[in-house]
Parts: sequence; structure tokens; C-alpha cells
Amino acid sequence: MSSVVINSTKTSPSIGAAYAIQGIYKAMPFYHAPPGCTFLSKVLLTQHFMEPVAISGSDTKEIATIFGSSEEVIGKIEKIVNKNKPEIIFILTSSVAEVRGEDIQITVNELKEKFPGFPFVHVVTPDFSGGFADGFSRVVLTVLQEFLPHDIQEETGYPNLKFSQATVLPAPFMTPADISHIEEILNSFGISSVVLPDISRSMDGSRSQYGAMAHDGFSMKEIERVYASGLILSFSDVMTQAGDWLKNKTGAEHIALPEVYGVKATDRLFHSLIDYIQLYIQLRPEKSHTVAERWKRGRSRLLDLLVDIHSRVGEKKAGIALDDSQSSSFISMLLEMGLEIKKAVAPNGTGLLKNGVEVQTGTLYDIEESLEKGEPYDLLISNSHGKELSQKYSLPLIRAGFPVYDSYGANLELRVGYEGAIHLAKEIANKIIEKNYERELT
Amino acid sequence: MQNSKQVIEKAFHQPSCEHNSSDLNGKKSCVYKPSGGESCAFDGAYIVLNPIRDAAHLIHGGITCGGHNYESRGAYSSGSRLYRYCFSTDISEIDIIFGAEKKLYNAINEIYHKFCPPVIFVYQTCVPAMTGEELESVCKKTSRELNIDVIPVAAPGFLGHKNLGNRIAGDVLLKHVIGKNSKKDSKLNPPPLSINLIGEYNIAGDLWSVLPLFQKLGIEVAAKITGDADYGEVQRAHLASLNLLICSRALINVAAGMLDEYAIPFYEVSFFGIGNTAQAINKVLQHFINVAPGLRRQLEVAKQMAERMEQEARNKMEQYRKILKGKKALVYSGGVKSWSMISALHDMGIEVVGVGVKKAGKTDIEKIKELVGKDKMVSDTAPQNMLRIIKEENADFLIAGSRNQYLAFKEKIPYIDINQERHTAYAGYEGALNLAHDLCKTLQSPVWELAKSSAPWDPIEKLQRESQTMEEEAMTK
Repeated sequence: MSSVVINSTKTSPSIGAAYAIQGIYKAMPFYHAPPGCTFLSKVLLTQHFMEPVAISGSDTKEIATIFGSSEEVIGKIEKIVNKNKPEIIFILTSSVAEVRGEDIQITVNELKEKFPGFPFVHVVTPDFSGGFADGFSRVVLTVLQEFLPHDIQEETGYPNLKFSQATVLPAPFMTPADISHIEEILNSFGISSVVLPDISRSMDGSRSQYGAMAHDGFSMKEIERVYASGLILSFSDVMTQAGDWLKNKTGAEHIALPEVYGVKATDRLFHSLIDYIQLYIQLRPEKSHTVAERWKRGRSRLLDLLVDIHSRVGEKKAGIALDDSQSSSFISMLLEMGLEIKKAVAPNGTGLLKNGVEVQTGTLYDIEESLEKGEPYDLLISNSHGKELSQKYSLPLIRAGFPVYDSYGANLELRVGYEGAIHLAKEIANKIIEKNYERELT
Repeated sequence: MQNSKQVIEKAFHQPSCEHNSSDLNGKKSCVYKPSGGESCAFDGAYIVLNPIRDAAHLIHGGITCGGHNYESRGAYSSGSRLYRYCFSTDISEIDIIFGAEKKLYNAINEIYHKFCPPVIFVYQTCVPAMTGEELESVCKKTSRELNIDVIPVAAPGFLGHKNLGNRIAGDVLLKHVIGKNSKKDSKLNPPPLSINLIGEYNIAGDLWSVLPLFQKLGIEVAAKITGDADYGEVQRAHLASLNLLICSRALINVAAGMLDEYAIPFYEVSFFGIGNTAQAINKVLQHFINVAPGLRRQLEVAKQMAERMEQEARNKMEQYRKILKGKKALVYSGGVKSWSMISALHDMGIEVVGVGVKKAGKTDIEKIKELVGKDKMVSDTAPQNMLRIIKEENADFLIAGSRNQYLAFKEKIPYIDINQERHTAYAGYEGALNLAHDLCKTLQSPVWELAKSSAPWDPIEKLQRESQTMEEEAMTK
């Protein structure tokens, strides 16, 4: 086991949490942390989204670090409540607060007394417990747990589940375009949706005036709806836990989709939706539903494309350096296209086989070492930090995950569903053949 | 941890800075302390040292400190790219409980065996500082064993803000780097006309449009501190005969320390804008004329050449001046950049309608006041207030750091980034012309009109809304 981590794609759970919070209407993340944590996260989120982002912090300095800083924190949060007028504040505790063993719950309780009815939510996000995806999913789970309505009973679940409504728990790596697409698919089945968190309405560029907090997105006013859905859709394995928790409380159907890219993953989504609809029709015989022409056509277009490109991309070798949960989606898609996964590394690699591929704990530097040894690669999939390797070894790069700050439109990239798979397959194939043209020329 | 007070006090105490106060506990101090929204001491130290390109920069701490700083600054290199590697100990809960000194020791060894750098800078961050780890002794031990420099940088984030970290990094350079490699240095003959550039980080390649100017004039740039620098050149910086201090707020202690220890005088200069660049060059030449009378003839020729270079730049600026004359700008950046940017904009005929001074020190404020007058200084730099000024003053541009980029873009206001995330060099004559070119480009871009244009359905939707309200009114009547 190495003592030094070199060129890791890892980012912190606190920034994952702050990212999720950008998808909640007028929500303010409050970093209980030294000033750099807040500042660097703001810079990185702004670069990624290319939008204003909401972040505030306690700017814990030495004296406060040593002697406790509850008063300082309360003062700062009070100011934010009065000045910025958020609808909800998330207090994120950094390593410094956690190592001190500070009881932030006391502070939160004091705040609740000062502002009765105002939602303050504490999410534990020190660096030493997970990464981006963990922070993201922890926000979702905490919100679900904190606002559970009192009339939900262990035995009976939610009294009046709405079968034509779904609660969508998107994967941390799903873009605004991905989320909108999932909603369109649901709508085509006659299912309305509530998305937690929903960056598709707040971070998609639709903000037409300056304002740091989300101007749209999931609103805490809709929180009751989350529990009323007859269907829960959770994307990627990091969101399964939240989906299961909700299902156990409300009695809704939970469709957990660990992989979200490619034919099989999308087929599984449609299979599950069709099954759900069948069940729903039994309950409400007056409703009937067929699959929309658009998806049928999308699937056949995708399959045709995959046939067309298969000989050019088949057996090409890919390296993947992403969060574990996103790797498995890419692995599934790349294998469908006939590519070979040369190496898949993740900061939180489980070592478990995913479609026969092991995702190891590792970093971009592990891929670099393998390249140094002369092992062949045709494609690299990573966040923006992959650029250095991509340049050095002239290796085509597909940017994914967080952060992506060195290319435009990362937020508008559609990769889920049949249509998303078309975009992704095209991108992969074209980058690979472009490279081949270059080789021909030299 | 026990000596963090001393670290702060030492960084605060800076006799050559006019903000200095003998009262170390008092509010007045040389280090600039912002009211919020700035980065931490660790980040400040990292910004200063990271551009040393052949060094390994090891961040001892959690992933926020390492991962979020990974390739975050646009300091360019023409040589080694090792400085862009992100080395982190990524400490875990177990490390916190049982201590991470052994891990740090192993990490340093691993880096040495894999990359063999001349130096490893080890940055201490909040958590290891809180658990009281002996950073210095691990560095000393590994340095001895590996026979390379392993330098501790004790600037955990909770000590204070970015500027404090800048100063701590400056102290590290004085204490461990500059002039500390006596064996090799004794063989070198210092060139008579040599200067160091202190506080220039080669953002977007700024240095590369400054260095050729000095080269043409026969002045050798001995060390860049620290943009595009190798470790060795920073070590030999004490052999130069003059220091140019470019970002005074960050590294005045380095210039002052080198004056004390090596009797190297320094000037504060800026390379933003034609006027500032010409002034900086002139100061250097005049200084050498005064101290090296033997080289007077050579230097007089250089002076004439410098005048020609300046004139040439001014001639080229004319084409942009025609477009930019009378345009209005709001400027918000760090202190030094603010005043130097104002004069750069004045060179182009642009009127400065406001200058954010929240991040400016005392001298900077004096200079800004001189250039634009007191009433143009804006201390409330909250987005809402900046917007108000832009609208009231009818400003054509916002010129600021990247955190204000989306304030401008959301409000459809032309904007230029002058901080570390930009992609064009703005220093020197070439840089001044680049800046003017970029201002013209954004001003004349067709995108602003498009962004404000109405959608095809706007008129009909407006009609629909109107008839709806009329119906509703009729209903209520």
C-alpha cells in the first residue's frame, strides 16, 4: 500500500455535498471549516458549472479552532439567514471540526431555537470519510431522514401513495441534460417526477440574472411529494441506500439502477418502467400505456450506430480514472461497444468485479506508470485532470465526472438513455478514429 | 502547533512595510487581513512555491487541500512539469488516530525513488497540525538520508488567510532556499547586470513577454521567484545585483530579507500596461547607471533602445485606442493589480468608473486614490453593489477575477479575467496589446446583442398574457 497518493481524481465529500445543494432551490451550504476549504470549493464548483454558485463558511481561524467556535458560527449563520434569505441551510463539517470532536448538533439546536421552523441540516463531511459521491449521497439521505412526515408509520408506509409520480434520485455524475432526459422518459409513461437534488433546473445555464443561490431546482416546499411517490428511481450504486431507505419508509416501488450508460442499462430502465406500468395498470385499469415512438426509434438508431462503428472501436483499449460508481456505468457501455478495459482505477475502488472488470483503488498516475511501461491505450476516460496525460501520450480523452473545467458544455452533455448512448458512442468512436487519421498523416 | 503564534508574529513583523506595527497583538499589522471570502494560509503558501517546476510539492493532509488545488493555477512552465503533479498523503481516520508521521516519511521516500527531484516541499495542513505532528523532524531526517532538500512549509489553513501563507512561503524561501547552497554557489561568477523578479508566477505565460525585453537590453534575469523557475535558480537568487518586486503584498519579506542579508536593493514595479512596463525598465537601467558607472555607455544605448521599444508599443496601441477611447470600466482585483491595471487602462483611453479596494493594502489604496480619486474607490464589493455601479455608471466592462465572471456573464456585461485563471499573457508590452485586443474582441462580439434578443415566441406570449389579465380583470368586475 502506497503512502503517497499521486494525481488522484478524488475530490472531497464536502464539495460533493455542496454540489448536490446547488440543485436545491435557495439552499445555502455553510462550511464549518477554515477559509481555504470554502474558497477552493467555490472556485472549483464555479469552474465546473460555469455559473455562480452558493457557498458560505465559518472561516475558522486559530483561536476559534482551539477554544470552540459555536458563537462565531451562530453569528455568521444568523447573518446569512437575515441577509441572503435562503430557504434552507446545510452545515457541512470539515475534518477540522470533526477532529476537534465539536458537537455541532448543539449549535444546530441553538439555531433552531433562534429561528423556529427554519430548516438547518447538518451533514458530516470530513475528508477522511469518502469522497465526492459520498458527500452527494449523504445530503440526499440526510434530507430524506430529516423531513420524514410524522404520519408515515413503520407498518403502513405512506398513507396515499401516488402511483403516477416518481421520486428520482440522480447519480452524482448525472448532468442537467441527463436529468431532464430521465424526466422526459418518465413523462412519456404518464409519470410525473420530483428530483432530489435537481441541478437540471438550477445549473443548466437557465439562470438569467445574477444570484448565487439556486433560482430553481428541487424546492423544500415539495418535500412532502418526495414521500408520496409510488415509484423511486435511484441511479448508480451510491444512491441505492437512500432509495432503499425511502422505500422502507413509504412502501413505494424502488427501481435501483447501478449502471446508467449504454444499451443494457437503458433496457433495464425501460424493462423496469414497463413492469411498473403493468402493475400500475392493474391498479388503475382505466390507464393504459404504450412505449413512445421516440424511444423505440432511439434504440434502433443506437443499435445501428453500434453496428456501424464496431470494427473501428472493437478491441481498442481504454483506461478509466473516475469515481467507482461512474466507472461501472462506463465499463458497461464500453464493453458493449467491444472495447477492452485496460485499467480502471478509482479513489475508492472496491476491487469488486464489475462486468468482469476489476476497479482498483488507484489514480491517474497508475495509468501513467502503465503507459510508461509501453502498455498500449487508445482512450482515457477521466475528469479534467486527465488532460495532462492525454497531452503527454497523445491519448484521446473523454471528460466525465467532477471537475470538468477545461472544456465547454460538460453540463449539457447527454449520456443517459438510448439518445445519450448515441452521443457517447459517437464521441468515443470519433475520438478514436480522429487519432487514427493523425497517425496516418504522420 | 505551539509555535504557530510565533509564525504569525514573524510574518506580521515587516519593518520595510508601511503597515508594520510594533504592536503585534494590535489590529494593525503588515499582513493584509481580509474580511472574508479569501483562501487560507496553506493555499497562499502553495501559490507562491508551487510554480517551482522541478520540485515535488507534497501536501500532507486531507483531499480538500490536495485535490482541490490540483492544477488549479495557470502558472506556465517551459521545462519540467513535475510541479503540476498532485502529491498528497490523503490522511485517513486511522492516520489521525495513530499519527501520520510514518506515512509522511514513507511518502517522501516514495516520491524520491520515483521522481528523484532536487527538492520536496512538504506542506502541513490543518489536521496534521492539530494532532501535533513533528513535520520539521521528518523533513530533516529524510533530507539527511536522501541527500536532497526536504523543506517543511508550516502554513496550516486555520492560521489565517492567503496573504499570511504568502509570507510564510517567503520566509521558507529565505530560510531554506535562497543562498543556502553555498558549495555550488562559490564557483559561480555573478553577472554584473542581473536582476531577480520576485512575485511573478508566469500566469498564462506573463513572464515570457517580459523576459525578452530585458534580454534585448542586456540585462540578465537571474531568478524568477517563482514563475517558470527551477529550484537551482531560486537557490542562486542571492547572486543577482537587483530585485524587482512585482506583487509587493505577497512577497515583500523576500525582498526585504535579501536586502538585509545580501544587501540587494529592490524596487516595487508592475508590468501591467505600457506606462508601468516602461517605468520598470527605466528604473532598472537608471539604477545600473548609478551603481555601475563603468557600464554607462552600454546602458545609455540600452536606454535609447528601451525608449524605442516603448514608442513602438504605443504606436501599436493606437489601433485599439481608437476603439476603446472613452469606454468605461469597473475594476476589481488584488491590490497591486488594481492600480497597475488602472494605468494600463488609461494607456488605452479607457475611463475607470470604479475600483474595488476590498483586497487592497494601504499603499495600493494610496496609489489607486492618486490615479482615480477617492470617490471612485469601492469598498463594498458584494455582487449587488458592483452591479449597481455598472448600471449607474453605464460601464462597458467588468475587469476582475474569475469569481466575478459569472456575475458579469449572467447580466450580459462584457468581462475580462485578469487573475490566475486567464489564458492570455497580459504583462509587458506584448501583454498590454493582448489586453487591449481582448477588450476590443469582447466589446465587439455579436454575442451580447444575441443574449439580450427576444425569442420568437416572446411577442405572442406577451399578447396571450395581456389578454389573460384582461379576461381576469373582466371576470373580477
